[in-house]
Amino acid sequence: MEGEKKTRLSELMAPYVMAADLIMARVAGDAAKFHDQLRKAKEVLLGPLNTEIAVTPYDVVWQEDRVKLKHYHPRTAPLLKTPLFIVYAQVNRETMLDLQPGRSVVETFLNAGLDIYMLDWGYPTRKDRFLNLDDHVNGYIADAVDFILEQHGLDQLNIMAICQGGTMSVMYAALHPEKVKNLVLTVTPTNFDHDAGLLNVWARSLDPDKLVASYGNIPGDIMNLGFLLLNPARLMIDKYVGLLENIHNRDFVENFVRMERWIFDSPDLPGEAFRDFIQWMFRENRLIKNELVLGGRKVDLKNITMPVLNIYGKYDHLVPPAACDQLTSKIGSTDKEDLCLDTGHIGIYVSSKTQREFGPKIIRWLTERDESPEPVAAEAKKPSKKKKDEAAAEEE
Amino acid sequence: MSEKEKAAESAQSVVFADWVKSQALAWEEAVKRTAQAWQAPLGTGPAGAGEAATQPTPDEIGKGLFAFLQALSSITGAPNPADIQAAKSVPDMMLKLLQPFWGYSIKLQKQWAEMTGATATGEPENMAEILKQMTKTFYEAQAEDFRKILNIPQLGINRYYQERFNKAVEKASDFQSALTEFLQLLMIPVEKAYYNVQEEIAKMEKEGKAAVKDSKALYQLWIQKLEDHYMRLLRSDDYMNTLTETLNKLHDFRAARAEFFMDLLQNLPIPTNRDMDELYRDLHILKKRVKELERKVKENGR
Repeated sequence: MEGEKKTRLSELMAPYVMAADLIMARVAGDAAKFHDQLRKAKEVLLGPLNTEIAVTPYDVVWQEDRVKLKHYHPRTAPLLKTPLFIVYAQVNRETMLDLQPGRSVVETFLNAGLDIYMLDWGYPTRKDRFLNLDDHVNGYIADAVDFILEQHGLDQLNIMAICQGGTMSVMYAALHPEKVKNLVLTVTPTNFDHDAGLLNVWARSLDPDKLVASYGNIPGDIMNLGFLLLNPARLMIDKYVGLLENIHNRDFVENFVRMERWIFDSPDLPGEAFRDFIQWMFRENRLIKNELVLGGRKVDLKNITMPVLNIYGKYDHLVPPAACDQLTSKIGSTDKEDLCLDTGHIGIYVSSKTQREFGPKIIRWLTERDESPEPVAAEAKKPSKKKKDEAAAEEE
Repeated sequence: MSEKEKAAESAQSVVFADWVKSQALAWEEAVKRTAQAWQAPLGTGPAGAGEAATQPTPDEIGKGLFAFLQALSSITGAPNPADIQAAKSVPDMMLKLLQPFWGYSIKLQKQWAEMTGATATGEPENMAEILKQMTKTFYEAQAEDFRKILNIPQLGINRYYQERFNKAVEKASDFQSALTEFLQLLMIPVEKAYYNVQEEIAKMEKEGKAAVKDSKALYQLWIQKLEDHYMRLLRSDDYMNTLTETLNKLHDFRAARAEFFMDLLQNLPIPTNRDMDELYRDLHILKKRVKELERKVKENGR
């Protein structure tokens, strides 16, 4: 009886035992090599590791509630007359654009002479649960734009936006086209009526009312769990097997930990804004159908008449090409370009290959569309020391 | 020692001896019945325990538990329930209330026994399937019996508090069931990948090709199969329905739990989420109005 029981149980457990065996075998390799790697791994893990992210210096020049505006210290004379305002998504943080020296979009732009402002959405608390999509587009984004324009004494600025930040920037550009000189969209979903990505399929089946009623704000960890479940084999197993294989390699470990720090630094999403986004975008696809109304005004894509550069990733599993490639056919602009790169959702910003292609392309495209007789730097209208100190204290 | 003291001591020793005897009997009975109840379904009881006639019914198991409780109450000095004539209906009621629990626990034990090969009945294909069956049994138990118990109308001044507590328990149980089913679903690709790898190796050997022996190549084969199976699962209706159900149950549980905690917090100097949300909503509306007024003032000033 006991023997039978053991056989039966071991049979049932076999798939899991095999999984563990394979992972261990993959990690260990041959015994001598494994021993050597373990020794080195000990040195790496117990020694000092540089895993800091977002180290490029900046000032917080404006703040409204939790939302801050970063202004990066220019490194060279301004290349363009028009400053660049970067709007990141509310999912995860904008630090991804400045992951580490040598893998930083911010650094590439600064070295070329762009004057960069970047929106930091901060960490919403329960107080922010009633902020809706309109509050973010016609509130925070609009106010930050007005602040930058006032600082530079300009009527227009350039916007570069990422993912959901791009979707909101499209709304802003359609509602306030007179303030946007050029619009650069990267991995920006605007069409939600497709089944190309799992995220789309799942989001449509979500009941946002229940989630918002239950949580208030949507926890970042819930979002992260959803992202991990998009590909459990790779994101929950293979990725960490890769780390164990390279655990003796300091550079690899540092880069890996930096990415982990970024991935799991996930602010919660303001409840009402989440509800609006799921309902109006994923479920009703209002934006691309020109049916969205924000703050009582219709978001008409035909109002987007400024030049638009629309960049997306061919292998993006979160925002697949099907989510991005319809926009340019719907907007009013005649100067528009779609650019599909051979990369994924994050690789577009951090992979060495796209670093050589992505940043320079944007700089070139903006330069060609900038009338730059007399660049106006923001230095002339720097915020008062008191304001900066207050912002710095808040940052801490 | 006076005669009076000796007599008192003698009476005490008699009472103590009786008490010890009654405790011993009660414990013996309780242990015997509970051991019989738990061992029989696993087939590890005394000779002949596997026969249907000697299998305890849920009612018998309940009686074993009651004897155990009697022993406990005696030890703690509480009145023995069996000694109180007026309370004789209470054990019966208790037994009836607990009956479903024992019934389903036996069923779950049997399924576990099938899984570990202790009985010959039932041939579930894999671990995920067994867990699915066990989850189903557990869920049925809740739906059919426990839910009814938790929903017995409450009476008196505390009725609303008790109802909210019962609801939180019910929803927690519902969520656990749904979560277990969801996790069980996530196990399926691991098992399928295993069988695929086995098949691939067998196929290679049959075709005379060298089977994959390098552990790295084998790992790659396995992880690829695993990914493929996950991709299929994650797009399936079954997965979507289970995910949606789990999230809905999570929501229901969180809402019921919040209601229950609000009862507790109201007695403490701590604001509830509902209190704070009302305040935040007012603040949000006020800020928007101030902003709009500022904009109008600015426009008029130009």
